[in-house]
Amino acid sequence: MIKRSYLSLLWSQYRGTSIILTLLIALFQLLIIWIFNSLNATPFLETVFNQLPLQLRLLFEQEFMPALSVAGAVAFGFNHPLVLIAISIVAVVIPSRQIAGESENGRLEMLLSLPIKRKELTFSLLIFTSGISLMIITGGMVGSMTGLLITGNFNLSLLCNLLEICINLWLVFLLIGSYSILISVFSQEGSRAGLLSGGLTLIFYLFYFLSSVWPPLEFTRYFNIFYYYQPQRLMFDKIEFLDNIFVLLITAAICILAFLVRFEKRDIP
Amino acid sequence: MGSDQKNAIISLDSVTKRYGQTVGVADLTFTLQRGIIFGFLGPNGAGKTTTIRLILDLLRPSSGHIVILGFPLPDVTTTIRQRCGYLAGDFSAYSHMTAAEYLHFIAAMRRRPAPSDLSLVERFHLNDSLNRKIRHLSHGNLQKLGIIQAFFHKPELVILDEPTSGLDPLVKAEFYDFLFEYQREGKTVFFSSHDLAEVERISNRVGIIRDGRLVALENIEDLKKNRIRRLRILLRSPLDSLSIPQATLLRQKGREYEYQFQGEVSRLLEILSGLPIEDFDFPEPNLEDIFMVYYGKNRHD
Repeated sequence: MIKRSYLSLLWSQYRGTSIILTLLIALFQLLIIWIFNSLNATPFLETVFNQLPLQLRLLFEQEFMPALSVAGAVAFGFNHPLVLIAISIVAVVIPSRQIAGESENGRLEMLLSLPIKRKELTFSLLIFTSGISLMIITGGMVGSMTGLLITGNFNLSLLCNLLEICINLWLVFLLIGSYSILISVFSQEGSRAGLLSGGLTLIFYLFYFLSSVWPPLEFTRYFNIFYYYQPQRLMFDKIEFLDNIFVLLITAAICILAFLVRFEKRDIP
Repeated sequence: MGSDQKNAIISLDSVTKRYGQTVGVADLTFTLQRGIIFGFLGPNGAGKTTTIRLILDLLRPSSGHIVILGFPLPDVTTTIRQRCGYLAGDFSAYSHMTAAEYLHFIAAMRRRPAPSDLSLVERFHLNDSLNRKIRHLSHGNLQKLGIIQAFFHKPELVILDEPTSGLDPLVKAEFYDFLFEYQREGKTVFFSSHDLAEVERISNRVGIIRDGRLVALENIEDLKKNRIRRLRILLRSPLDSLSIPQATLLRQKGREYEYQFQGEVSRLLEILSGLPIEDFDFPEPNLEDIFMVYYGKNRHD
């Protein structure tokens, strides 16, 4: 089901970006722990939070107060927009370029005239996108662990929680990759498919925060992918981990299945 | 199964492709035997590329059946593609690779060893460009790379969509020779073109398509026999009337006459020898001329 030569092609196309992103995320996670450990900003931040309006205080307490510990700083690092954007780029750009973009410039036509099944192409592409997301997240995990080791905060329980966060984050990006590939099969232009998928991810992200501060939007949280990834809660309360995995995996599987059905029937222009 | 069917390499039966309300190709039915060079002739937008993409299972027909190398589409597409070579009309390769890397990639995708025999590369004078990035190749060299990747695994059937676009006349001539040699090995070539002279020069059999419909499927000898020629004559002095059998006067300007002619050239030359001619020539016919023959015939039918 997997075409190694196609995986090699993808790696040759994206290795530069992937390695740079991995190093950046690793460095970012390391810096967050190092900075948190160097500055004791907890009393100051607590005073600031206490002066905020109630709704904002509830939001920030939920999102940032746990960060006022080393474990919280680790979780905060994995929920930072920079990390989410970096991995979203990979999860959105690769499927959009490889399906809609390559179709637009005629290379998908050449590729599918070779002995490769559309299913093989799909699975190879998904494996590659998941692999690159995993590589970047692993980079972040290595950065965090290095930071914990350097600052002397490393322990086994923290490592287990970190692993859960990384697996959960990886599944979020598997889902983003899955709906990106589904959108790309309906699009004739790579840039349009990328914009749609990226835009949808941004809408999810914004709605998640809006639904935290505005009660009428609270019901939308259950339909939001970011509801199923809350590293602060994962760090301190493990109950949701399996639920998150279940929801994310099922939704990703539905998107992939819909893509396969459509891609098998799709004309390659 | 008749021997014709057994020997068939491409068989289309009532194949129609619609894009919404637009018809790409309509009711295409033809069978091609192994070991021929088949020229698929038609103007831009006639349905040549659509037909090729249907044969390669890149497009799915709205109705009809396609059998390639004895296998019905889309059942065993990968087996078929393993035994086919293809050059797209607007050939595009991965610009970050070198030409050599691209050929290695194609070989790996075909599960073949990397092309060690560089005779094709040498034959099409691509040696010097083999280690250059594809983004730095000229259009002609990119087209040569496309030709090489279509042929290097010696497929039974090669499908080429306007393969000579961008090639200079010397490389074109070399390519034609190569096709003849390839055919002598018992292989089949299906190529599309809008160049009548090219099709006449290298094909054994010709299909003519226009507006998505196959208007003719002929052996090349029959095509040549049926073809309409243009004849331009410059007389030493104008005549009151000049009538040439089997020819229709298209226009006259002073001493210059232009005719459309269909028939034996030797008979025409006999007639011309009796006229006070200063000069004459047969301008290259365009596709419209040849379509007139088949359109006329179809309308009668």
